[in-house]
Amino acid sequence: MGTDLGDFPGGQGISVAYDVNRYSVVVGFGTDGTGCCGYQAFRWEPGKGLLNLGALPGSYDDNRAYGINDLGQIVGSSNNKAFIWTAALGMRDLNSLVTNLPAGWTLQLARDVNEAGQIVGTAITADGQTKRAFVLTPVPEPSLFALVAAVGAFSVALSRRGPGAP
Amino acid sequence: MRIWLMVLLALFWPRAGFSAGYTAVLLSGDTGFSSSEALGVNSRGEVAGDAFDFPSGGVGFVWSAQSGYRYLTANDSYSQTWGSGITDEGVAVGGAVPVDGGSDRPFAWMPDGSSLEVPQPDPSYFSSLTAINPAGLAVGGSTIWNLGTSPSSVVTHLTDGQILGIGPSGA
Repeated sequence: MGTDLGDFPGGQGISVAYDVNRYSVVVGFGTDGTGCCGYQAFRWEPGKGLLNLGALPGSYDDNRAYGINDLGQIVGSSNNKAFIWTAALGMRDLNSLVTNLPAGWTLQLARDVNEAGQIVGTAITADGQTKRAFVLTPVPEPSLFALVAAVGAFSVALSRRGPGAP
Repeated sequence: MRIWLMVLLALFWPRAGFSAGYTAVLLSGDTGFSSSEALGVNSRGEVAGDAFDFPSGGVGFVWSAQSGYRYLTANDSYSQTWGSGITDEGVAVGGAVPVDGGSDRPFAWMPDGSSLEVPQPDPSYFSSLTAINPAGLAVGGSTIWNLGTSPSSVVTHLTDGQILGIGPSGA
């Protein structure tokens, strides 16, 4: 049985679903009442309907979500730049998060994200003539727990040295 | 010493999927194709995509950091291929272009390199496979196939609309 995900209020009745995760959260894009003909990236969840994921700065008014993983991370393109969206941090430009992107390349769109957070998509040169597949691999981030543990262990180490230690 | 080991372990223990940043690898194929694109990635980091030159055409690939490139080839009746999705078992799906100029055809490629042309309900349609889930259900055009059966079978064929993705549960 199919479910009509609908469209944004004021839209032209056009929506496209691209991916769905284990929890039946669907991502894609649709039209809304702003502008003449742009697309808005959405996240759809049973019982909650469509959520507009927003947009990166730009004038194209073309925002599309293509992939979602079971962690709820969503990837896509917004105004010709690849993005990642999370509930905690919203939409972020992946170009600003990559540490070693070669000069002259822009991550244009992100098509998929796996359960380890790896993201694939297409990068493009400034002249728009050449495209390259890309794979982004997360750089592990120390968690808050890890930081607390580190501070605690450091304190224990200091106390064991004692007041007379050199 | 043990405490400092714990400190280092705690500091660098990764939280799955969340990071402060990313490292990028750009893929252009072993022979340096002029362009390429990546469309799918599985939980083992295997990437499905295609690399191409204008106007000669392109070839689908599966790439991983451990194994490099595995090209998705079809028989001599097809001039170009591409990969769109891949399961955790390494089954890639995508499409191929016939040399006689006919409609695109849906294909799957097994981890051993063998290819499978998936039968279409209506061969006159342009069609390819765009995604596959862990159960072996693959989608493309207006159709859902079960690639886990032999031969592969059509599960659903819509008279209207297009199916672009499929989740682990088949939704």
